[in-house]
Amino acid sequence: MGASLALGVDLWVRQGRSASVEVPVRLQAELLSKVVAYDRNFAARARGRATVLVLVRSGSAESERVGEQIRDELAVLSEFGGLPHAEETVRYASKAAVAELCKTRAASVLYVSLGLSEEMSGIASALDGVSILSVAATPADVERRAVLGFDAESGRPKLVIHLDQARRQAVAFKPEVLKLARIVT
Amino acid sequence: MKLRAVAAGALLLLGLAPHARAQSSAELDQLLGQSIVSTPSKGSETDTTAPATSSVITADELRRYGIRTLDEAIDYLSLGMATSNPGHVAEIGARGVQLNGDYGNHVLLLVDGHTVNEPWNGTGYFDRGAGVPFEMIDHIEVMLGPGSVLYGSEAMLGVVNIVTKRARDFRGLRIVTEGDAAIAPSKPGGPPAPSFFEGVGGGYRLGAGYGREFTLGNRPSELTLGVEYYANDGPAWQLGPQAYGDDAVTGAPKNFGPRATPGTWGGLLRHADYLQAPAGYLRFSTGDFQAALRASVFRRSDMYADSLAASSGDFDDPENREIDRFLNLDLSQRLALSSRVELLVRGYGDLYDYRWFNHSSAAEDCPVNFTAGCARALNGVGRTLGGEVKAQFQWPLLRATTLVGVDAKLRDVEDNLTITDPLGAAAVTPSGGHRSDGLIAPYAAQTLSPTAWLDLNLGVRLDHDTRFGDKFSPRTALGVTPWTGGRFKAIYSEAFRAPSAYELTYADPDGQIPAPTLGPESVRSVEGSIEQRVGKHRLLFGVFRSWWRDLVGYRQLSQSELDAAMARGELTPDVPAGYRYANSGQLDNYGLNAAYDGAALAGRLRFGLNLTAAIARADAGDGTGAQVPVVAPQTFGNARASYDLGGNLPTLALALRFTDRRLADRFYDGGFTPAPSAPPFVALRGAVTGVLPPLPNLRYRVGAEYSFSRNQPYVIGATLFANDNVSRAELAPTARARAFIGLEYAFDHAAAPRY
Repeated sequence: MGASLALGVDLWVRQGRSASVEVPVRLQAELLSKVVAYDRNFAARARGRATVLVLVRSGSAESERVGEQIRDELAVLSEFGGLPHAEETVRYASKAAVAELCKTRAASVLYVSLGLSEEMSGIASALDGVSILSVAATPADVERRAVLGFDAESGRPKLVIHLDQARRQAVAFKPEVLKLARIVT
Repeated sequence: MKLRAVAAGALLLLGLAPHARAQSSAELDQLLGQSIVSTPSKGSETDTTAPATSSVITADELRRYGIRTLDEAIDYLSLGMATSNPGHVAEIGARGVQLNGDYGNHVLLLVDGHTVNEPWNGTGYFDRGAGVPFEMIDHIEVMLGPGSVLYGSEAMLGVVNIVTKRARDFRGLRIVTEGDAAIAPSKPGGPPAPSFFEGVGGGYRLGAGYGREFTLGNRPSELTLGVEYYANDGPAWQLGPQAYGDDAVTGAPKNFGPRATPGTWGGLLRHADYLQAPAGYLRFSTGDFQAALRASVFRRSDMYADSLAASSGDFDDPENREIDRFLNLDLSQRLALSSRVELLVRGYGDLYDYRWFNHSSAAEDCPVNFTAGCARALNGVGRTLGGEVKAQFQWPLLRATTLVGVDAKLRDVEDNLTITDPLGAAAVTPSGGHRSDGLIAPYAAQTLSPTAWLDLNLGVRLDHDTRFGDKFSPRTALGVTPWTGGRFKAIYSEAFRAPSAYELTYADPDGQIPAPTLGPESVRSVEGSIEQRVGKHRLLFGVFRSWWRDLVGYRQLSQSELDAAMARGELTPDVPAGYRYANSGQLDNYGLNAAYDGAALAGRLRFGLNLTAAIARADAGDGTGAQVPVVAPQTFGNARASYDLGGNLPTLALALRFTDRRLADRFYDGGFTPAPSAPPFVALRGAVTGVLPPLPNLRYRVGAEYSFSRNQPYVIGATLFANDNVSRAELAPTARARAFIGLEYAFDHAAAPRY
C-alpha cells in the first residue's frame, strides 16, 4: 500500500514538469515534412538525405512517448521535404553534447520532445552557428528559442517560428511560410 | 476569349489560379486548414482523420459573425445540425431528425469533455442555458451521428463539445458588455399593436474573464475564469385572440387570469417573456492535473402554452416560469506510466435542480374542487458522482493505439409535483418519485494506421445500467487518403439514450402514470463521406442512413389500464384519459450532407456553405403508420462570407440560415384546417467587428439579424387542438429583427486576444 502510494506520488511529481502537445503528433510530422522544403538551406544541409534527430529526456515517459510517436509518424512518410529521410532517437546528456551530435550526424532537423523545456534555451545557445532546424513538440519551447513549433489556435494548427534563432541556425524560411506563421522574436 | 478571361478572373478571386506563390504553399494551407478535434476519439486528432463527420466552429468565427449563443453558432456555422425555438428553449435536431419535446436529450452536450446534460431528464440546453461565458469559448466541435461508443447515453444525434480557451489565449483581465434589442412581427387581425418603443424588447450581457499562466512547485500551471450575466425582457408579442368559450367546470367563460378577457386567450404579452442566465466557469491546471468548475442558472418564463409547456396557465403571467441550476465539478490527472502507456484518472460530480411553476385561474385546468384555479410546482433534483479511468497504449512501430477505459456513475434523482389551491379549500397529495441508479461502462477502442493513407478504428462500449440492463454501442470506421488532400470515410455506429428518471418516475394524478419498465432508445447509423482539400478550400460530401428504434413517446392507457391506475390511486377518479411513456416509436432517415469552405484574397475573404437534405419517416407506434416527422427540418443549411478590410479597419460579415417548410407539432393530431405548418425559414445577419484604433485593447462588434419568416412550427395558446370555436392554428411567433452591440476590453495590452 505504502509502495503504491509512493509510486503514485513519484509519478505525479515526475509528471508535473510536462508541458502539453497542442497539435497531434501525426499532424506535426506531416507539417514538418512540408515546412522543411521552405527552408532555403535545407537541401544543402541534407545533402540528398535528411536526417532527423529526435531528442528525448531519459527517464521521462512522456518525453519518450512523444519521441517515439514522432519517429513512427515520420517513418511512414515517403519523403521529407522532397528527400529520402532517416530518423534517430537520441537522449539528452548536455547542451554541448546535443550540438555535437547534430554536427557529427549531419542532422537536418532536431526535434525536441517534451520534458526538455528547462534545457531548451541552453540547447538553442549551443546551436548558435550550427546549421540545423530545431523543432519543439510544444509551442512554449519556441519562446525558449526553438526555431519552429506547432500551436493550436481556436482548434486550428498554427506554425510558430522564432525568427532570430532561425537566423542564428542558418534557417532561412521563405515568405510563403512566414506569412502563415506566428512570429516570435 | 472573353469567357476565358472571366473564368481566369473567377479562379483568381477564389485563390485557385495557378499563381506561383499562392500555389506553392497550397499543401501547407491544406494541412493548416484542418481542425483539431478531441470529441470523436477522446483524444487529439484532425477532423480529417477522426472517425466521424464533424465541424469545428472557431472563436474567431463566433466573433466575426456576431454569434452570441450556442444555438446561433449551430444554426449559422455548423454542418448537419439545426435548432428551432418555440419561445422557451431551443430544440435541436440533426439530419432530418428532431424529436419534439425532447429538451435536447438526444444530443450530448459537453464542456471540455464534461457532460452537462442534466441527470434528471437528460436535458441539454443549446441556447443561453448552455451556461458557459461566451468569451471563454475557444472552439465548438459539432460531431454528427451516434457517439455512445465513448460517451454512453444521449449521444444519438451527435455530440457538441464546447472547448474553452487556455490561459495563454485568455491572458489578463477583460470585461465585456453587450446590449441587444428585438422586435416582434406585427400581427394583422391580432390584438392592438404596441408603439415601437412599447414593443421593443431588450437585453444586456455583462461579463468578466481572467486568465493567467504561472509556475506552481516547478509545474507549469494556469487558471482561467469567466463569469457573465445575461438578462432579457421582451419584446411585446401580439398573441391570439383565441375564442375559447366556457370553462367546462364552472360553465362561465374560461378565466385566463387578470391580463386576458374571460373566454378569450391572447392579448399583448408584455410581462411573461424574460430570461436571466448567470454563468461562471473556472478551470485550473497544474502539471497534468486539471480541475474545472461550472455553475449556471437558467431562469425564464413560460410565455405561452405549447406542446412543450403543456399546461395552459394564465395569460402573460410572469410567475409561470422555469428555473434550472447547475453545478459541475471535474477533476482529472494524466499519468504517463511508460513511453507506451498513458493513464487518465478522472472524477466528477454534478448537482442539478429544476423548478417549474404554473398558475391557472381556470377550474377546468385543475383537480376537482379547485374552483378558483390552482398552482402547480414541479421540482426535479439530480445528483451525479462518477469516475473514469482510461489507459492508452501506443504500440511500437505499428502506428496503432489501444484505448481501454471504464466509466462508473452513481445517480440520485427525485421529483415531486404539488398542486395547491389559492383559496386553501382543497388539496392534492403531492406526487413524485425517487430513484438511485448506477452504471458501469467499460469501453475499448483500437486504432490502426498501417500506412500513411489508411486508418482503421474499432470501438465498443458496454453500458450496464440499473435503469435498463445492458447496452452495447459499437463503432467501426475506415478512412482512406487516396490522393493528396482527398479523404474517404465509411462509418458504422450505434448509440442509445437511457430512459430518464423523469420518464421513469413522473406522474400527474390528472393524467399520467409512471413508466418504471421503460427501456433504452437506440439508433444504428451508416455513413460515408468524401472530402477534398485544395489549399485553403475544402469540399465535403457525405451520405447517411439511420434506423431509430424504441423511441419513447406518450401512449394512451386502455380503459382497463386506466381503471387499474385509478384503483391504485395513481390517477384522480374520473379522469377521462390517462397516459404513460412507452418505447413505442421508430424512425428511419437518410440523406446527404455537403459543405464547402475556403478563403481567398490572402485570407481576407472567407466563406462557407453547409447543406443537409434528408428524408425521414417516423412511426409513433399508434397505428398511424410512418409519417414525415413534425417540427424537424428536412432541408436546411447556412452560408456565410466575411471580409477583413485590414489594418484598423473592421471585418464585415454576412451569414444566412435557412430551413425548408416544417410541419407543426400538431400537424397530424391537432384537427386544424388547414393542417398547420411553418413556411420556409430564412434569417440573415450582418456583423461588423474590429478594434477601436485609439484603444487597441477595445474590441467591438455590432450587428443585426432579420428574419424573413414569422413563425416556428409550434401551435400555441389555449387551443392546441381544434374545437368548435377555433379551427385555425396559431403558431409560435419568432422575432422579426434583432440588433446588438458589444464591447470587450482587455486591460493588459499584451493579453489582447489573438482571435
